[in-house]
Amino acid sequence: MDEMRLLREHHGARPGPSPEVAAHARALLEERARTASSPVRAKLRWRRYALSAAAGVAAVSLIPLAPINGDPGDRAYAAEALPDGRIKVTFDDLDAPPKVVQRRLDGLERRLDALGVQAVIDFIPFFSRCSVFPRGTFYQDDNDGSPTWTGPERAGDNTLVYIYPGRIKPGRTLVMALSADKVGVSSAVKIGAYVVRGPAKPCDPVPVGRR
Amino acid sequence: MTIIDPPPVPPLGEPVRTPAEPSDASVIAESREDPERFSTIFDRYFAEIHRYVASRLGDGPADDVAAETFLTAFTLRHRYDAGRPQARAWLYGIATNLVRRHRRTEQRAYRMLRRASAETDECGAGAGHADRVADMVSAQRMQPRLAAALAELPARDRDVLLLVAYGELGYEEVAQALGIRAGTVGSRLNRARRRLRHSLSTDLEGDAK
Repeated sequence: MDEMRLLREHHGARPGPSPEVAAHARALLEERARTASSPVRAKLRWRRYALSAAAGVAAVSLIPLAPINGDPGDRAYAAEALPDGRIKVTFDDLDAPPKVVQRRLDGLERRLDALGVQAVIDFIPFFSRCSVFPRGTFYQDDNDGSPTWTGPERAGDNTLVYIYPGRIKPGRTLVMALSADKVGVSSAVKIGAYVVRGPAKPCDPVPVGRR
Repeated sequence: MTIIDPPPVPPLGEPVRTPAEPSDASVIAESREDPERFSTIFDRYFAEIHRYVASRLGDGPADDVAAETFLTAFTLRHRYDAGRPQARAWLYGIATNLVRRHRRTEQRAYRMLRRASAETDECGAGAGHADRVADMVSAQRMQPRLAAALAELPARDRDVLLLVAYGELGYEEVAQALGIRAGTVGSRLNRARRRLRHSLSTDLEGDAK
């Protein structure tokens, strides 16, 4: 009595999925992948800018940065899930050309999406902000007032931000804007972020003080 | 002057070698930045995973569960252990977890198998064909007993047994798929096989009397 042979015969008699079933399942996966690779604002790639900040609603932080060397290439900025539930985001070079920084931010968005956080991150000129604020239905009641992110912090040549994914409910978008400035050998980075319900509106940059 | 070398032609009788395909681990790593790359994993394993699920739940539920397996794998791709070149065991583990949610469906599939096999059994036995056919009939006669024996196994033991029998996974792979120790795989498999053998032989003895 070979029970394993009997089982294998039973299994071997299976014809496998029909082409229609396989095509349907593949289409479902492709749709999911497309959604992941083009988050909320794929069409808005050239319409980013501005740091929206208002006291009490959006957090904005500014820190000085040391000069950073090296070729940033096409690597996304790092996003790492920590054991305590936070996500640690590391920006290792914000002095690169704006297009390179934005490309790396796009990659970061995909990484955050994989970690369960829908985010829209824009790189904007220093001394500018979004003409629209907030860029969606601002949603403060998601948690007990605890921050959805903290930072930025310095870590050597890097800038760190910590995101609390457990405090960002499904269907919400973390809207983040960064800007960096360099004077001589020193530089500064400014980061502002808040959470909106649903997708974020585009960010049209305007100089600070103009609407 | 530029000299362009013609492409090398392999000697007659020697197979044309294609460049080595990237490992599952590297495809999954790439898919974190380029999500559409994950379709490669689908193309490599969908048919196999579908057959495994179909053997446990039946064809209808397998269509949905197999598709869900790959959507779940896609969502979890950032957690994939890059140290494991093959994603096979990982996918079987996800599929098995999803099958567990359909325990009632699995039990129903075994009941259907028992019924359908019993009907075939009657037709086959009544036909009285040659030896070659008799082997097949004998195997068919075992199906309802097999289904009954599988249905009686504890779910944990059944998972291990069927990953080995249907998925042809090794102990280490089953351990990875289910998140248990390889030693536990061995003890569960032995227990499941012993029970299965006992059920089947008891039934045969009953038939002989």
